[in-house]
Amino acid sequence: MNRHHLDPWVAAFGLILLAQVQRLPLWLSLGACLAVVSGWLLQRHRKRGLRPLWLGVLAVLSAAAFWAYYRGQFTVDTAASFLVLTVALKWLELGRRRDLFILFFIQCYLAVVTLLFHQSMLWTGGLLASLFLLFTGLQMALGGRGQGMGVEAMKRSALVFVKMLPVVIVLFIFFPRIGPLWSVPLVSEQGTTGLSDTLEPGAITSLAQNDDPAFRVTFGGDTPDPGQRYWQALVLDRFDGRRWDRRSLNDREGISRVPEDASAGELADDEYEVMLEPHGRRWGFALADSVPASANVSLNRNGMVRFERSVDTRRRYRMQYEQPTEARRLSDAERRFYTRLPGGTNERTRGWVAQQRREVDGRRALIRHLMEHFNQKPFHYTLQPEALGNADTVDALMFETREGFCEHYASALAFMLRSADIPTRIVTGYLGGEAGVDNEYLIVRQYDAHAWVQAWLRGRGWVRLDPTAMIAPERIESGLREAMQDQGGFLSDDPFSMNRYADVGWVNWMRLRLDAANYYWQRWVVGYEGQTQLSLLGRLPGDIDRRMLGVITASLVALLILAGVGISLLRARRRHFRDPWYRLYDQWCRWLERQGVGAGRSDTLAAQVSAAGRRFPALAPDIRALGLLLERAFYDPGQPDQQALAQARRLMNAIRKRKSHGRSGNTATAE
Amino acid sequence: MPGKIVKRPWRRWVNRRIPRADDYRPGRRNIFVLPTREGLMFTGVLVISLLTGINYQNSLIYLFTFILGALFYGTIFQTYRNLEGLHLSLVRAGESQAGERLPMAIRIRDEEHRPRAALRLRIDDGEPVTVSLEAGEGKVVPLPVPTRRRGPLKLPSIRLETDFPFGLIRAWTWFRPASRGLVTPRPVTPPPFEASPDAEGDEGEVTLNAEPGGSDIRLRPYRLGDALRRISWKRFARSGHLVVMDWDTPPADPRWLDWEQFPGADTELRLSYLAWHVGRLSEQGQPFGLRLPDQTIEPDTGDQHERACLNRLGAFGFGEMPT
Repeated sequence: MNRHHLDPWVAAFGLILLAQVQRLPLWLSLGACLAVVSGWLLQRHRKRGLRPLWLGVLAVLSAAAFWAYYRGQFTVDTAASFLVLTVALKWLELGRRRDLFILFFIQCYLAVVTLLFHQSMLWTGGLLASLFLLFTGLQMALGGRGQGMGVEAMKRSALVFVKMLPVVIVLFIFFPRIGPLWSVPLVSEQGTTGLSDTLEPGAITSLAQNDDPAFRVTFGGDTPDPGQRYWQALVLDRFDGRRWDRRSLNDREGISRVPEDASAGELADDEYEVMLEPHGRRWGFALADSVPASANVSLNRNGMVRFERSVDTRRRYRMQYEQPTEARRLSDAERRFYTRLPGGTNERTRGWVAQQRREVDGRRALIRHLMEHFNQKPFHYTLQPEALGNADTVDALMFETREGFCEHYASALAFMLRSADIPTRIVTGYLGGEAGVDNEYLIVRQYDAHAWVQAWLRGRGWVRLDPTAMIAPERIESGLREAMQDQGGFLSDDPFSMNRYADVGWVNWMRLRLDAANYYWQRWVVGYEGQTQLSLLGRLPGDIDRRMLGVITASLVALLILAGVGISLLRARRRHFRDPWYRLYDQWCRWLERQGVGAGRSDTLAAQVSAAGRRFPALAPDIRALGLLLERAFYDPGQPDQQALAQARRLMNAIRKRKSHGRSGNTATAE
Repeated sequence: MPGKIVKRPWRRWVNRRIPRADDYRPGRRNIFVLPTREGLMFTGVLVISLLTGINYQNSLIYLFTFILGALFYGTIFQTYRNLEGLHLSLVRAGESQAGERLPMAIRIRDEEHRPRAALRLRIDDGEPVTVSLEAGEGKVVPLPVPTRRRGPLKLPSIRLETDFPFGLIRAWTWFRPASRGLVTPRPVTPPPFEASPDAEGDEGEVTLNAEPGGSDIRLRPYRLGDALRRISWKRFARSGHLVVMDWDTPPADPRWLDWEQFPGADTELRLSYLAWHVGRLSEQGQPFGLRLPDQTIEPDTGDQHERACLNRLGAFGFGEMPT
C-alpha cells in the first residue's frame, strides 16, 4: 500500500465538497477541508494517523457541533452533511488497508449522494470526474509503484471506464425503474429561491434580480401570446394592512410515496408540459383554464396546481386546456371572506373609492374606472420604489409616492376593490417566458415573478385584473428587461450573468444553446424515470411492461457478459500469436504432439529437445540449436534480437520440412 | 472455505486442472477469479446507491450506480488479464539441510508485452513476495521452502495471486513444479569415535581432529578450484595476492566414511553422523570417500565432492535421483 498516492483522492474530495459547499454550513466545509488536508499531509510524510484517543475526542466534538447546528432534523440533507463529516474524519485515520477501502467506499457514496443536490450536466461531469479520480487513486495506493504510476493508473482507469460504457448505457435505458420504497424528506426547509406564500412590499422585487430558471414549458400546440402567459400558483386572500397571505388550508404533507413523472409521449395540441425546477414547496404553475393531464399533480380548491409532496427534485407534469369545473356562485360566507379588510387603515383610499363608486354605475364600470386610473395618473413601474412606511401603505402608494412594483399595485387594487365590496383576491406566479432555441420551449425565470388580482364577477367567475399592465404594458408584452430598459437596474446585482448581456448577439446565441442543452439533458437523462422509460420503450413493437423490462434487462446484461467472455476467449486464442517467440514455441509443441515424441507441453524445453533428438537422430543438431535459441529467448533476461528470431524460424521450418521428407524416405526404405 | 470437507475435494479438483509441470502458463482453465472481501463490501455500496436512486427517483443516481457496477464488472477482466499470458518456470528446486530452507527459485515472465503490477507469490502460509513486471520482462524470484525431513522434497504449490488494479477482485492460480528438491541430513555430532573396521590402524582419529597447520604449512599461489577457506586472507590484505595455505596431507591416505562405522544407530542417525563427517573433512580439505550399502563414492576433495556426497546421503533410500 502506497500512501503517497492519495493526491487524486484529495482532488476528488475537493470536487465533491465544491458541489456541496453551497448547502453546507461554513464551519462544516472549513472543518472538512482542514481534516482532509491534514490527513493527506500526515500520509505524505508517512506519519501514522491521529491517535485513537484524539480521533475519538475529535469525533465526539464534531458530532456535538453537528447536533447543535442541525437540532435533530432528519432529512437526507442532514444525512448528506453528516456523510461529509464522516469522510473528513476518516481521512485522519488511514492506518491500514481496510481504512483505505472504507474511505474509498464512503467517498464513492458521497459522490452518488451529491447527485441529489445537483443534476446539471456540468456537475454530473464534475462528479463523474471525481469517481474517476477515486478509482485512479485507489489503484495508485494499491499498486504502489514509483514515478509514472499516476499516468499509467489514469490510463488504465480511463480504459475500464470507456470499455464499460455500452454496459452502462444498456443498463440505464433498460433497467426497470420502480417506485420509491419509503420516503424521507430530501431537503430541510431552507435556502431555495422562488415565490413565497405571502406577499408584502418588496417580496417579488427581491426575485427580480434572480435569473435562475423557475420552470420550462413545452407546448403541444401554439405557444400563447406573451400577454396570455400568466402562470398562476398561489391565491392570497387575507390582508392585514401590509401583508397578504393564505387562509390556512390543510397543507401539511403526509409521508407518501413520491408520485411518478408524467408520461413522455407526444404532446396533444391542447396540452403543455412543465418541467419544474425544485423549489421545496408543494405548488406548481399553470396557465388559467387548464387542468392536470398527468397523475402527479392535482388542482386544489382554488384551481391551483399542487403536488403531493414538496418539489425537492425536478418534476415534470402535463396540463391540458379545459375550463375547470368551478363553482359559479360564491356563498355568503365566501363573499364576506373575500371582502374582508382590516378596519381603520388607509382611510383616504377608502373614501376615494367610495366617491368613485358613487360616480360610476355598477361594478364593472367601477373596475374599469379604477384600472384606467392607474393608466392616467403618473404611476411609475420601478424596482427601487420609495419606502411606504408601515401604516396606510395603500394611501402612501396611491397619493404620495406613486412608485412601485407589481406587488404594490396588485395589493392596492385588491384593497380598493374589497373596499368597494367586490370579492377580490391576489394571485402570484410568473408572467412571461423567453423562447428557447428554435422556439421549442419557453424558459420562465425567477425575475418573471409577478402578482396580479382576481375579482369575482357574477356570471363570469374570477376575472384577472393586472394593474401592472396599465402602468407598464411593455412588462406584459416584452418582459422585465424591456420594462427596465430606461431605468437600468435589470440584474444589476449580477454582473457576470449571461442573461444580463442577452442583447449582445453571440452571448445570447450561446446562452440559449446552453439552456437548450441543459433542458434536453434534464428531460431525457435526469428525467429518465418510470413513465419516460415506459413511453420510450412503448415505441418499440410489442407490449412492454415493467416485468417485461426486467426480463429484457436481465437478458441484455447476460448477453453483454457473454459478449465480454466471448471477446476474451477470442483474445485468448489470438494471444498465442502476438509474441513471435511464443508462436514459434507453439508450433514446436504442436509438432512434438503430431510426431508423438513422448514429450509435450508440460515438459521442460530440455526434456522436449532430448526426446525429439532421440526420436529423430538425423535432425538432432537442428533440434538442439532451436532448443538453445528458444531457451535463450525465454530465460535470458535480455530481449532476444530479430536475427535470432529469424534463425529460429528457419530451423523450425527446416525441422518440419525435413521430417515430412524423411518420412517419405523412411517408408520407401521400409518397402 | 469451511473445514476440510470442502477443502479436500476442492484441492483435488484444482490439482486435476493444474498438473505438475516445471513450466506453466496460467490461462482460462486454471485462473480462478472471485471478489475479495472489499469487493463484497463494494457490492454493498452498490446496493445502497441503487436504493437511494430508487427512493429519490433520481435518474442520475441510477446512472452512477450502473457506472460503479460496470467498473466492478470490468475489473474482473482486468484482474484476470493480469495473470493471463504469464510464463512461470522453475529455475532450481535446490538442496538444503533438513530444518533449513530449500533455496527454491522460480522465473516469472510476461509473454504478452503488457506490464504486470502487484503480483503476489506465496507458499502455503508463508509471507507473500510481491513482484511487478515491465512489459516483456522476466524476473527470478527466490521462494525459500521450509524443510523438515531428509529426502527428496515434493515442491509445494506456489500460489500466484493479484488483486490489481482495484483490490476488489482477486485472481489466483497455483504453480505446481514437477521437479523435486533434495533435503540432506542434518549433521549430528557422532559419539566419541568408534573406529571403523578398516580404518583401525590409521590413527584416523588423530588426523580427523588434528588442527590443520603446524610446521609443515606451505604457501603457494591460488589455483582455480582451491577451497576459499584455505586462502590466507591476512596475506591477501597485505600484499593483494591470493595465497593458499597448503599443508602436506598425504594424498595416499584418504579417509573412508563408512555406513558400517556406526553400529547400532538407525538409518537417519547414521546419515546425520556421516553428514557431520563429510562437512568436517571437507572443511579440513582432507580427501575422503563414502561407502554406502548401495553405492560407493571414490575419495576426492572439493566443494563439488562434498555436494555429491551430501546429495547421496540425502537421497539414500529413495532410489535413483535424477540429476
